[in-house]
Amino acid sequence: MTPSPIMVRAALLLAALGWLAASTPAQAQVTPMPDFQLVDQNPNSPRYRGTVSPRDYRLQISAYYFGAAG
Amino acid sequence: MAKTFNVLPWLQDTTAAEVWTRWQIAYRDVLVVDAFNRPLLRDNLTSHDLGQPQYYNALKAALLAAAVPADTDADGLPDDWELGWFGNLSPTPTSDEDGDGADSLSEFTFGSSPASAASVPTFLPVVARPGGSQVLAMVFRRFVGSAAELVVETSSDLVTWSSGPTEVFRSGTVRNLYDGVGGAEVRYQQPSGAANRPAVFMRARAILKTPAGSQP
Repeated sequence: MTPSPIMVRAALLLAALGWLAASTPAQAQVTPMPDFQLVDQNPNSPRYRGTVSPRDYRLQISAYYFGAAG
Repeated sequence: MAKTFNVLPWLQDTTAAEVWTRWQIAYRDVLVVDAFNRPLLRDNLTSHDLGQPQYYNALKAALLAAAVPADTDADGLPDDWELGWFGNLSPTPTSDEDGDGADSLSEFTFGSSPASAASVPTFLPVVARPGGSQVLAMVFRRFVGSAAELVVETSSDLVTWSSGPTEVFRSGTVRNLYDGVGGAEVRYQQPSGAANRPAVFMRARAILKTPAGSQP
């Protein structure tokens, strides 16, 4: 993830980590992150050119890394 | 690790989506969200360089902790699966909330809807041809990840059932369906050495995991 000279904002959806996490009472009050739909730009990804949304990963844990397009 | 990294979706933010703004992101943030897309943890790899062991180990520990399913009612069904479908923890492994004949443990393990009688675990038999020989294979849905446990077995007489890699094995990877309910597709098949058996049957069973913290 070496940043390119032109710092294009990009998000890398790391993965569904497998299974969901604990929902403690405190966490249950937390508001979900705002939804979005973006197109997968990775030609090696099985979802290439398809839209990806956090909704797709509901009932799973997912992780996002925010880097710059290289 | 590098191989996994290379097949992950890369998402380009847009002025319409404005994810960085709406998610209040800083460059090199890592954000982990839970089963309902609520933030679980946030880290920044500039301020916490993973080249330093203490930051690497801290993030690794946090990710591993986040991946542990909670089961506060100790019934073997993860809380978030129950909450996601019903908004409460009332289902039990043997309950059949939608009256379709499949209990909650089976609906959970095999990724069908426990709230719709039209959705039950389904299994598609197919013929595989490893090395030119014909063997039995089976494709079915399962819940993604390791919270669900199942066993796949074969039999020649429907009386004695056997599992293990010499009888049946998973071929290929578990394919995440990204369907918003944790569905994945998996395929099991007999090894090529099992060809030419006079008869073969295959089945998959859901197994109740011992909830974390409970006595076996």
